[in-house]
Amino acid sequence: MKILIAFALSVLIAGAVQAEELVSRYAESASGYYQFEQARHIQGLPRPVISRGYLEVGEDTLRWVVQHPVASEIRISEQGIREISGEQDTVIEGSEFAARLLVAVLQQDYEFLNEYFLTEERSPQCMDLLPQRRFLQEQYERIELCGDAQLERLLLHEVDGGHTDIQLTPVDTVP
Amino acid sequence: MVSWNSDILAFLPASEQSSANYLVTQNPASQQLRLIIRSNEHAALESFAQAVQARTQSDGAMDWVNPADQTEQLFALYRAYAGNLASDEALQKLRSADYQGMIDDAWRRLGSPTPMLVANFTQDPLLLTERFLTPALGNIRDWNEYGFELTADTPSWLLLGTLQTPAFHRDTGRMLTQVLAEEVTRAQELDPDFQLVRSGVVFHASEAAQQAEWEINLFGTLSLVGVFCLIWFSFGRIRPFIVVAGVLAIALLSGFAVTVLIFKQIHLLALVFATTLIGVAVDYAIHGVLSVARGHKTFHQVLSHLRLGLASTLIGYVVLFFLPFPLFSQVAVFIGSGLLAAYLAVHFWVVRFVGQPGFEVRAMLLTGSQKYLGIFQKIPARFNSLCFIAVFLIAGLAFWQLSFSDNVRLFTQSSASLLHEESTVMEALGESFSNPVLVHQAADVESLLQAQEQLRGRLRRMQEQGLVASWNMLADQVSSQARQTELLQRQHALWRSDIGADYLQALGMDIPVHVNRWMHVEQLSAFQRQSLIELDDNGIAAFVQVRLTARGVAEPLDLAADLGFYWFTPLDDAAKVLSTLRSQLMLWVVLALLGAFAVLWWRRSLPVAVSGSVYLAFVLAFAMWATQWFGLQLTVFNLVAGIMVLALAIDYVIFFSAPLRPERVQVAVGLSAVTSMLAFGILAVSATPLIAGFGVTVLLGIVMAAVCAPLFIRFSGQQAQRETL
Repeated sequence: MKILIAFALSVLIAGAVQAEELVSRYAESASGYYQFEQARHIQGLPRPVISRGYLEVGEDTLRWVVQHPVASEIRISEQGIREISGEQDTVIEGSEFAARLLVAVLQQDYEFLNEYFLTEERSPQCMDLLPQRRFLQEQYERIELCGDAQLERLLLHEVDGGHTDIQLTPVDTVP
Repeated sequence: MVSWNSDILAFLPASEQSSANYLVTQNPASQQLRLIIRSNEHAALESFAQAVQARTQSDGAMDWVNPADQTEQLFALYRAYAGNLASDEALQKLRSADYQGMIDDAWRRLGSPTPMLVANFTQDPLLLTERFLTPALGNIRDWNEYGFELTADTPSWLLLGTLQTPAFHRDTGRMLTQVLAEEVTRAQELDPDFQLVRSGVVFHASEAAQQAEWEINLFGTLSLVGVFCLIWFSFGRIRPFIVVAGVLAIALLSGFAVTVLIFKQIHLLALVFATTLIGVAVDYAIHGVLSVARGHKTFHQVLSHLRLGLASTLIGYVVLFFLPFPLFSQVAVFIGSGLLAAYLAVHFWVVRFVGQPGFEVRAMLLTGSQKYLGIFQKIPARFNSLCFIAVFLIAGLAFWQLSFSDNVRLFTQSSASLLHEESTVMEALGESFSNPVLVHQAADVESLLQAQEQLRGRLRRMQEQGLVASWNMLADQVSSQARQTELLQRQHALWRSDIGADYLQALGMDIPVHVNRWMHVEQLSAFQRQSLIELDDNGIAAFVQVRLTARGVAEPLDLAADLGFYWFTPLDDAAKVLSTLRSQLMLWVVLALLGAFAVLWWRRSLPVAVSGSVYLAFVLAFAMWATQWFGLQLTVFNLVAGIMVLALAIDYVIFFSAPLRPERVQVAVGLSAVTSMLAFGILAVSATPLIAGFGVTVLLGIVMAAVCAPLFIRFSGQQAQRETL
């Protein structure tokens, strides 16, 4: 039994490459503006829920501005997620970890990603982040990052079979 | 099978316990324990958690929460009932038909890249349950099969367990403490910096029990050693030594056997108090041994006075037995039966030694006694009366100055290290000792949840006013059936509206089919239901923990009295019960003095009864006043100590006013007093404040009683004349 476990581990370790090596391919993607289109494929729905907008990646923050279908803005920092709608500014309680994860993926925070994920190369353009913690395993089966020089696509594969496909296009200014 | 209890509140009378203290006894939370383990070595954390849980779970002593299983079950449960739970704000929007607002909220949530935890979109397209529960579920960093992982610089796991026996059960606490200590040592072999921090009633109970057991052994041993040294010093021979040891052994074994036979559960503190039997029973042994050398006539004379002393002392212990304190009932049975056995041992066994050599007390003791008595014999008769009047006035003045406290926190004190561990765990979990707890009783779960839902609305308004930071209640985990029904009906109304239909069409969905099925409290895990208490009368009660802001702490909040909630303050309620009991006890003390007066009048004379009662009142008042003078806070236990002093001091009056040779009485009373001082004085060094206070009061009382007792030798001659007539 121990031999089997050791063998399985060696295969996993051999297949996995450090996040730093893989994520560093998106070295140019650290800060700036991106247009996004998010297609959320939810179990039981015949078509995805589409939302569009742009995101602004700062050093420690992320602004997720949805322009369609309902205008809203989400400000993400290490302190959590705030939802801004009209004059309302609401802190989404319990969102600290989700916020931290998004910022880490977009900011290439290797230390954070290494702590929570095992990384695997899927194809020359894509890599997988495999959650290593129970809390993440309850939500994500895997997270797929794709792009050549820059991060162009995020695929969040959820455990219930649904997935969220986020396409990113870098832009110079706020669209 | 006798069980051992160490609950400090167990002395409270069952018949007069407040509802809060009744809830304490019924509250399963007292059986919960929380451990935080810290280490940079994952292997150390895992091996400790695995070993502790396996060792304590295998024999059925404990049940540990498996967060991996529990979380999976919890998420599945909420997914199954998605749409049945919603925030007050969402329900309010539905009530006011703000359908567009509801749908915009749902679109925003769908447009957010953040994950969904318990969403079941086809059943709950508005994501009501997801939005309601995310704040509660999202703060958990991670978990494994042993515990929750906390956010901290050093990796920390929180292990949650439930005892399968009451927290004050001695054996469970001892076993758990031992297992933890052993496993900490093992974990520290893997990581020397491994740390364990504990929180739970069981640890305080276990520590108190260990302390009590240690004190029973120490005090018992020291008392015995002191008594035997004294006997050896007084007689210098082996035979008196053996006789005294025999009488003491008979007394102790009888006291213990009778107590175990009568009471199913014995309080360890009762045994600590009961060690004082040594100091009282040795009186009988000494009186018996001293009269052995004087022949049968003297021996039987002494026996008759011993009987009187026994009767009067037993009256004191009968009073103690009938006091509404279960703890002191056990003390009274132990000492009362032990004393009776000691008397019987003297009567039927020591009598066999009468006339045998080797029982003469050392001459220097008799000489010393004569010299001491000489001081009292020189006091003129008129001055003697004046003495009693002055003593009476001093006693009155001392009583006037006494001030009692009913704060039960003064009775016991956990060690500083354990209190530090407790506060560390609370701090790590965002709790505080100062967090108030509300409690509510209801006929059934449904009405209890409805009341909590009303309370939540009020707490939310206070939160907006900056008075309340957060709260923890059952209604945040499951809604009342009434609320679930309303929520489903109002969602259905939304889907039938144009706005609702457009939303569903945009998603490509049909109207969700809501079967009227309700989520129940029983579907939650036992750990989630820990704030709920099923009462003996089929009623139900629940706690609501409220975290106040600094402003909220400063302002007294009467937030829920009209909803049937009240602040849960068991220790303050115990203080109120104690205050009533203290008044009753005062009455018993007065009755004990009147009883002593009656006994002395019947067996001696009116002057002895009057002066004896004044003397007893003075000794009592002095013991209390001097305890207070030494900076100790007087409690109801000092009053009980006062009754003990009366029981001992009346013996001195009986023997000094008896027609016996005064110097021999002085030797017997002196030796008895010194042994009692040894037995009770040792209690003064107890780590448990209530025992220490008790010991100090009895010690001071005996000192004064023994010093003043020779005042009664004046009545000895009068008594001899009465008996001759």
